[in-house]
This record gives sequence, structure tokens and C-alpha cells, in this order.
Amino acid sequence: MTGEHRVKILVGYVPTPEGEAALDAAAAEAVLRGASVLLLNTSRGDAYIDNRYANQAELDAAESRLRDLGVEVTIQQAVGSGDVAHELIKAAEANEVGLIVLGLRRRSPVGKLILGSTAQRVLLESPVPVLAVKVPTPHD
Amino acid sequence: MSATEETSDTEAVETAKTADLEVEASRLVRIIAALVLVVLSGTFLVGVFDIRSPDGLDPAGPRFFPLLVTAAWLLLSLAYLVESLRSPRTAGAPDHSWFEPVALSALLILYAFLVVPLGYMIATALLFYAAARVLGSRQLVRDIIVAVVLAVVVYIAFTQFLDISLPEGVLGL
Amino acid sequence: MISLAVFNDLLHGFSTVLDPMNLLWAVLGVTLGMLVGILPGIGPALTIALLLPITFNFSDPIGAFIMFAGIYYGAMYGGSTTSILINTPGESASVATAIEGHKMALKGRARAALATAAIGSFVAGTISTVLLTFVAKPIGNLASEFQSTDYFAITLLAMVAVTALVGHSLVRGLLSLTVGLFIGLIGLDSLSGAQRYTFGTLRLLDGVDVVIVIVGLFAIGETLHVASKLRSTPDRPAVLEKGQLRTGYLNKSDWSRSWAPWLRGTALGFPFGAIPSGGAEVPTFLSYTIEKRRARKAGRKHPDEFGDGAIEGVAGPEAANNASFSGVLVPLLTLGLPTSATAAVMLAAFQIFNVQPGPQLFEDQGTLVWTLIASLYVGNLILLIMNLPLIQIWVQVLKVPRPLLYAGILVFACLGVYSLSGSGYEVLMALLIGVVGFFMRKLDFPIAPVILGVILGPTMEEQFRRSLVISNGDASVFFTRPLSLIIIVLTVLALFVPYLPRIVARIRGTQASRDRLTFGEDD
Repeated sequence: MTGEHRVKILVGYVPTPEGEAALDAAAAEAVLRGASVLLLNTSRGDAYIDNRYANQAELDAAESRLRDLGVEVTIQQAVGSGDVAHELIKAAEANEVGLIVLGLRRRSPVGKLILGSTAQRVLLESPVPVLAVKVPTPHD
Repeated sequence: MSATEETSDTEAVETAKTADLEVEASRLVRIIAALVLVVLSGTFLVGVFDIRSPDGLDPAGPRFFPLLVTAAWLLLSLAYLVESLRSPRTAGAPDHSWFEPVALSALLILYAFLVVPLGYMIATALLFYAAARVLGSRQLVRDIIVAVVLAVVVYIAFTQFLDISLPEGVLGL
Repeated sequence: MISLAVFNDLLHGFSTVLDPMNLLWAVLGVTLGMLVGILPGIGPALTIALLLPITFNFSDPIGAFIMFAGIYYGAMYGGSTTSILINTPGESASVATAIEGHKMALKGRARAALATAAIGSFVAGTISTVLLTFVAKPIGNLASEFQSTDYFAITLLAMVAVTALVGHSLVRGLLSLTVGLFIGLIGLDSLSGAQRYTFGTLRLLDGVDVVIVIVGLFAIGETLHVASKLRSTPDRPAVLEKGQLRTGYLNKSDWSRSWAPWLRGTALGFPFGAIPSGGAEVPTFLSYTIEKRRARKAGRKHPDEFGDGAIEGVAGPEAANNASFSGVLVPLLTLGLPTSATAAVMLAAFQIFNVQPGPQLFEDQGTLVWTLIASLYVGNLILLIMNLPLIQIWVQVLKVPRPLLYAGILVFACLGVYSLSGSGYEVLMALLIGVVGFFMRKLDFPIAPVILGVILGPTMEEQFRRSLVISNGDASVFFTRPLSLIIIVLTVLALFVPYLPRIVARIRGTQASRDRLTFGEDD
């Protein structure tokens, strides 16, 4: 019991297909490694409506999905904290996470230019390995 | 039965209304504001006598109303001063920042002076970007693009379609 | 017979409104009104003020006024939409709707709430416009009997009534009013030619335009205020439930529960809009309270009780709020007397087109007036048709980050002010007023009385002095004319209205709740 160093997997969760895919991948990794999951959902909080901010029902659903697989899960939500990439890195460092999992959004080149890429920032700045997951297409 | 129901009715309604209407300023600020009002109204009251009036203070003349208004203002300011002095010491909302309003005001002053020389489009794009930045937005590329597009669209819409002239400035368009 | 002539005029009005170009302005008005009015903190008065510049070079005021009516309805509905969906009403007339409306949304019944609001607004708008149609001419005829003393008395009543009802503190309400009166004084005195408080500049000779005051106080003041609170903990953003806007419209129970509140709301909204009570705030809250009491008395067995998403709590206030607009038009068109901030902006709009509302209006500008009235029917219909299916689109506005929204508001505020005058100097003026507005918000001073002071003060003074000139200095003229005397008595009584609950409770022997009736201000 003591001295058991449980690996923690941080997943950046959004209630979208990409977020769900990331959650599935994180769950699979957790089962594989016997790790626990830290679920982080953030919003810049700078708009009146933000559909990327999960509500309680969605968080509960995510939590039970992980628990059903026998994975231990903690949930963190934050608002107005700056951009997502920064938050993920910060959480990774603060919680001594062993792996970051996030979902990839399809972006056009112009979209990437104007809106930037969270995934890219995390990949480049993360202190730990990063698993970037795409939404599985039908013929996967 | 009816007493408590009535109180909870009006209370529910009033709580809904007043939830965000607490006085945000501390007692000190209120006192200062009251003093400012007293000084202003006093000055304007004296200024009544600068108004050219052949009839003096005749009610039908130009001095009467200003006299009433500034006098009422002075009295009310004094009442407000008393009210503020009497009010309990409140700390005032802790999380109010002066930087942003001051910065925005400075931007607007600059805009007022620059809109003609620089032209509407450039000045407005700058104003939009700078204001968005002061208000917290950090996305450089996105904001610049929005700023430019907005300024151009508004300019074209107003000058071409609505026939309202806006300064051309440097671009001479 | 009077009614036949009225139908004739109205039909003429319709034929003008149904011109494709004018219909286009109506649709554009509703659209713009929705887009801008949906922003929390931007009420209908400010929306119209911000969009005024669009109409400056209209050759014909009819299109402009049709657009303004559309803007008003759109903005009102936009405010209701934010109340229901994300519980941030931002304008006082929508606060009542938020109470039950948002609870309904949380239960997945947002669409029903929005539908009852839209249909209720339509019903109320149509009925109240019919009332306006019949009431306008007769009151206009009565108004043409008005003399200076009566005008003076009624402007006095308007100012006192509004200020007595607004704000938490009488002292602060009166201070706001006096500041407004003072601003109205600035400029060249029309009766004597004397310069007042112009500080030697030429620019102030024309006084300070009410549009600049409105834009400064509401747009710039609000933005500065929001800016100062940015660093504090931000609100949780609302999340729009994915399926929230898709569950059905109104079921049978909804209809049967809504129709009576719609009618009651209309009955409240129209007269309250007409009397100087500040606009839609009073009737919406009254409607809410009445619906709540009725539901309680009827011993409802419905699971949706008040406090948990009762549809009556949306139906009534929404109807009241829409009906009050037609009510507001009664004194505005017949007497030139604005009874709310929105009315003040409309009056300013009239003046831009050199149209002077008042008893003469129906004679001189009959076409314009009846077209405006006809456009109200059309505007209501357009609102109904456009908004329910298109809600998803309007809601996208709320996904834009706040910094961009408020930067945009600043840009449009400056645009409005600049195009009004052609010089950056007015922008500085608006900024100064905006700073004052900022401090007013911090110190909890009500804002609407300022606008009423600016608009009504000059009229009041002019009528006062004119009365005295006509009577050769005899002040008793205000009391000898029966109409003036009646109005002045009403004015004195109006000072006591906020204390009514206490008086009524005293009579009944029950406990009175808090102290004065207080209402908000920005419509």
C-alpha cells in the first residue's frame, strides 16, 4: 500500500467527439498501466456561452464510464484561467502526471493560423509524453 | 399565512432584482464623490449669475431654472454627503481594477484625436484591437483580423451604402 | 364616426408598410435588434441609440421608424432570450422573465419558454397596438387642448413619477435627475438668447445631444464598468444543452396555461407604458407577482410551480413588456412626452428627422404616424416568424468572447457619436459622460433619471416660462386651470406611490415587506 507510486494520466476533456475519443484512449491506457486518471475540463470563461465547458451530467457520465472500467478518476474544472494548453501543462506539473492525453481537432491551415493549435503547444511544451488522439473514422 | 407569503413573494422578486445592485464603492469613495458633487453644484450655482439676464432672477428669465436646478443639486449633494458620512464602514468590492477603465478611456481619447488624421479604417482597427486586448483577449492574429475586417466593413457599409461620410485620413480612399 | 376614419388611416398606413422596401427595413430592424439586444447589458434603448446613425441619411423617415420599431421588438426579445437561456438578463425588463424562464430552460424546456415569450409578445403587441390605434386620435384631440401650463404640469409629473420609482435611494434618484436637468440646461437659451454654461466654447451652444448622453451613459459607461471587473473571478460560462433547443414547442397544457397570462400581461403593460412609470419594468414585475399569486390561490396541481419553471411566469411578463411599448407611444406621439429611456431615444430620432410629436402630429404627419402604427403590427408578426426557427443563429452571438463584444460596442458607440456630429470632440464628450456613468454604477446611482432630465428639462422650462409670459407673471395660472391643477395633484400623489405597499399593509394590518418599491432603469 505505502510506496505505491500510481501513475497518473491527465486527460484534457471536452464534451465533443474529440474529447470523448481522448477519454476512451486515456481509459485504455489507464487499464493497461494500472494508472489513475485526472480529468481536466477548462474554459476561458470569456464568452457568455461556451459549449466546451462540461456540465455536471457530462462530467458524471465521464466519471462513471471510467469507474465501470475499474479506473480511479479525479475531476477538475477551471474557468477563466488562460488558455487550455497552459492549463494542461500546469496541471501536469502540479500533479506529477505521467502522461497527457488529448483529442485532436481537424483544422484547416487557415484555421490553424488564426486560431492556433492547443495540441501543438502541449506537444512542444509538455514535460511528459503526450498521446494525441483523433476521432476514429468509421472504417477504423 | 398571507403575511409570510407576501413577504416571500416580494422578497423573491426583490432578491432577483437587487442581487447585483450592491453599492460597490467603499464609504470613503462615496464621501469623496459627495464632496465632488457639492463643489460642482456650488460652482455652477455661482455660475448662475454669469448668465446674461436683463430680468435678473425673474422666473420667466433665463436664470430662474438654472438657479433652481443648481440649488437643488447642492442641497441633494449635501444630503448625500450626510448619508455617506452616516453609513457604516464598508470595504467596497475588493476586486475592482482601475487599470482597464483608465486604459480604455485613454484609448478613446487617442481615438478622438486620431480618427480624422489617420482615417476611420486605421483608427478604428487600432481601437478595436487595443480595446480587445485591454479587455483580456490575447489572441493576436485572430483579433487583428477581426479588427481590420470590422473596420473595413463598417467603413464601406457606411460610406457607400448609407451615404454617411467618415474620415479618409491617410489612405485617401 | 371616429372608428371608420381610423380604419381608413390605418389601411393607408398598411399600404405604405407593405411596400417591399419598408418590409425590408422591418426585417433588418428586427434582425439587428435581436443581434444587439441579445447581449446582456444592452437594452432596447441603447440598441436603438447605437443603430441610429444608420438612418441619418434616410431621405424618408418612414423607413427609419419602421426599422426602429423592429429594433425595439428584436431587442426586447433578445433580452428575453438571454434571460431564459443563460439567466443574465442585463436589462431590467427581462429580469422577471429570467426567474421562471431560466428554470424552464434548466429542465430542458427552453424552447417552450422561448415560444411562450414569442407568441405572448405577438399577442400582446397586436392587442396593444389595436388599443393604440383607437386611443391615439382621441387622446391627440384632448392633447390639442393642452396649454403651456398643462404641458408643464405633465412634464413635472413624468419626472417625479419616474424618479420616485427608481433606485434604492430617493436622494440618489433625485441627484441623477438634477444632473440630467443640468445637462439639459447647457447651451443657448431659446427664449432669451443667453448662453448658459457653455464655458465660452462655440460647440456647446447647441447643448449636449441626448443621443450622446445615452450612448455615453449606457454603452461607454457599461463597458468601463465591465472592464473594471474583469480581473475578478469570471462567471462560469453557461453551457447550452445540446438538445436544449430541440425539444418541442408548446404542448396543450402550455397553451392553456399561457393564454390568460398573455391577456393579463397586455392589460397591465399598455396602461403602465403610457403613464410615466419608466417603461416596461413596473408592469413586468407586477405581472409576475400577479401570476404567482393567482397560481397559488388556484391550488395548482402542476409539477411546475413557481420557483421551478412555471410557464405563467414567462407568459405574463413577456406580454406586459411588449404591450408597454405601444403604451409608451401614446404619450410620445400625442404629447411628445417620453415616459421611458426608449421613448427618449425615439423622441431624439423624431427630432433628427424634424418631426415634432404632439397634437399636431396627426394633422401634419398623418401618413407617418399611421405607417408607424401599422409597422408595429407588421413588426410583431415578423418577430414571431423569424425568431423561433432562427434562435440557434442568434445564440451564436453569445459565443463570441466578451472582449471582442465590448470592443465592438465601443466601436459602434464611437461611430454613432461621431457620425452624429462629424467631429471627434463629441467622442470626448461621450467619454466624459461615460466616465460619469461608470462612477454612477459604482456608487449605485440610477441612470434613467438622467436621460429623462436631459430630455424633459428643456421642455418643462420652456412651458413654464411661456405660461408666465402669457399670464404676465401671474403664477396662480398653474393652479387655476383645472387640468393643470389635477395633474399637479397627481404629481404630489406620485411621490407617495413607492410607499404604497407600506400604507396598504398598515391598512390591512399585515407586515409590510421591505421599504420602498424599487425598480430598475434601463429600458
